[in-house]
Amino acid sequence: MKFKPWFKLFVGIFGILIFLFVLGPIYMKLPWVKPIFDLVKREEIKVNAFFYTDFDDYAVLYNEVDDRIKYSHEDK
Amino acid sequence: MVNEIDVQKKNEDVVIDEAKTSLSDFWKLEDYWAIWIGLVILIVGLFIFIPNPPSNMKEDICKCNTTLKNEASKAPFRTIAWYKASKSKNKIIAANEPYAKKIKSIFNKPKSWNLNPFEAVYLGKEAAEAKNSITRADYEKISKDLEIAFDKAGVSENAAASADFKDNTLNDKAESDINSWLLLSNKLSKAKKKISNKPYNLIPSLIFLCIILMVLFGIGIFAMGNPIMPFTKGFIFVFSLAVIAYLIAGQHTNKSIGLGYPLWAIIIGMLISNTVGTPKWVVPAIQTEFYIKTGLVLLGAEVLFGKILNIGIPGIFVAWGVTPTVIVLSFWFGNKILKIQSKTLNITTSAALSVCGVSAAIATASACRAKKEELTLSIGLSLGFTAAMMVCMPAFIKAVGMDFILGGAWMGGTIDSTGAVAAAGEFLSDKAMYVSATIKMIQNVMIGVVAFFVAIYWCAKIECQPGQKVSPMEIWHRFPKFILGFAGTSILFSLIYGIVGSDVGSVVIEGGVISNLSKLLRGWMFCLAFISIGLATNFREFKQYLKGGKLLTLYIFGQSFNLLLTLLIAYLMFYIFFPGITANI
Repeated sequence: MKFKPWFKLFVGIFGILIFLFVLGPIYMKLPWVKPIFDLVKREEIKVNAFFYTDFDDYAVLYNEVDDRIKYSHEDK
Repeated sequence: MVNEIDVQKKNEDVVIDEAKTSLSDFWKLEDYWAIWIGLVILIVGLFIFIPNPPSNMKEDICKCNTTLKNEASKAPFRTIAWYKASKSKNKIIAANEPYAKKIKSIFNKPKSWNLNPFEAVYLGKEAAEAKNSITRADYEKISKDLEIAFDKAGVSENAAASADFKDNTLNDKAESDINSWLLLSNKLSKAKKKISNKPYNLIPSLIFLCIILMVLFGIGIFAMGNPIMPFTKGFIFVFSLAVIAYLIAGQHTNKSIGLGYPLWAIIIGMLISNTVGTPKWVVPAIQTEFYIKTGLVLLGAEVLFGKILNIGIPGIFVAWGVTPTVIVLSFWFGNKILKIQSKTLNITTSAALSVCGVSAAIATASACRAKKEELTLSIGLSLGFTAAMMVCMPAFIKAVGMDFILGGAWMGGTIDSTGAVAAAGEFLSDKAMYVSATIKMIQNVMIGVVAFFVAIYWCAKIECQPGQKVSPMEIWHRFPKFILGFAGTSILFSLIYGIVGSDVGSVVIEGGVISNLSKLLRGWMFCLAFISIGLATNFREFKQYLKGGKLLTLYIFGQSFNLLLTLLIAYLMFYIFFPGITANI
């Protein structure tokens, strides 16, 4: 068994862990990005949802909008 | 030059390989097997969910709609009863039925976690209760505030009612108090979720899911003439890596920044293939295209055309007017000005930046048969720009004092990923979130159209020799057939959604077949595909595409044009042509 490829693999895994537990949290605490990440955390927004059906709140939002359009006062 | 020859040779191979059509294609070609597997899943879903809607569904929906109608005619603002009826209607979904929850539990991906990765697959009773207790105090405080806000809103509404809703000052006060109550009510729903953690053990369901997917794809592999046993062995490895990719994507930091499972699946796969190397026994299970195509057939069912008709003309103009313009101009710029050699890379990147990021890149890359590295690069760029734009755009909008509705429309049309759009919109205001989300949803529906036309254009123009005229039959021979499955499931589900109506459609189609079955399986299939891409990719293959920074230039040019055009059209639509609709938001 060769040592070098396995060493590279462990360095890669270590890199991922460094990103998850050190670099990522540091980035999220930078003053100009902190407010949006605080909001994301507080509201539990699924930022990594990439299609609209992946984001459950969209279905609720859509139905609310649908109701707003279908059932609005005549003056509106 | 060597690459040009390679590309040409590959194209010639494609033409020769698919120049004949025979009946056996239906059970021998991967494209058709993707359609059959996708259709089986969707039909099973329809047979489970349509005959088993929530009890009294129609009566309950009718009751809510009657209240909505009466309340809307009564007052010039949305009353408490109006909102309560709308919320009650939203709670009627098939996903809440016990049988639906059981189905969902089989296909669930690993849960989110912070410091302990085991929490992604296992949570004991005590740990669940400990999690709940952290936020219980918040929940109780919001509950009390909500009671006060509700009483205040009730008093204001009664005061407005006693003046027959003709006193504008009283009406405005009631509307404002009702909005405050509504805001707290939404907050309480979210707080309730945080104290509703239940113990779980996903390990048995993950094993069961692995077997289900292995059988589904195994049947296709066997029917296409490949041995089944090597595939089975390799599949367990690929599936295990997909679980790890989902697990990493579910970590809190990743979830917040927006780096989803596609990126992690590619990174994990590449980490293995470029260090210790992909084991040979895994290779039979690296079926990138098979997984992607089947996932896309399932994605088609989520592209519901009927939905966009209800949600406003301005958004349709912003999403459907700008998107095709940007995709065509970006492709032209990459082709003529930057002279990017690979047209498939050019169109995949143009689609990713102009339509909706990852999903558009997957659909377009499959439609034009782009290489795996090209798809990887487009997704990487899209995710990088999305993470940056999600932070920069709302900050810029606030700094320059731009109207939040215009800002929401601008972000909805330009930020690639749906979740990032929601976060950026919510950062501005509720209305901005609503506008941005609406536009993104309309834009998402565009991916089917884009994939279909790209497939046609590639067959009729790009894959031809200069000056060669292609007959419709030849186009049919070359056409990637799974696109028909993608378009077909979209049309089928849009029709069903239209026939049953949006209320019932939301309950059994969107809140049943899609949310509890097809979207979960689609996610797993894409994850398997991205793991396969990573396992088959060598870092060195990227070198040729990154030469001269042309790809980055293309992305920056396309996205800059997208930003300018979306802002202009959003302004025209929301403030010049349809100000009435804007006022009603």
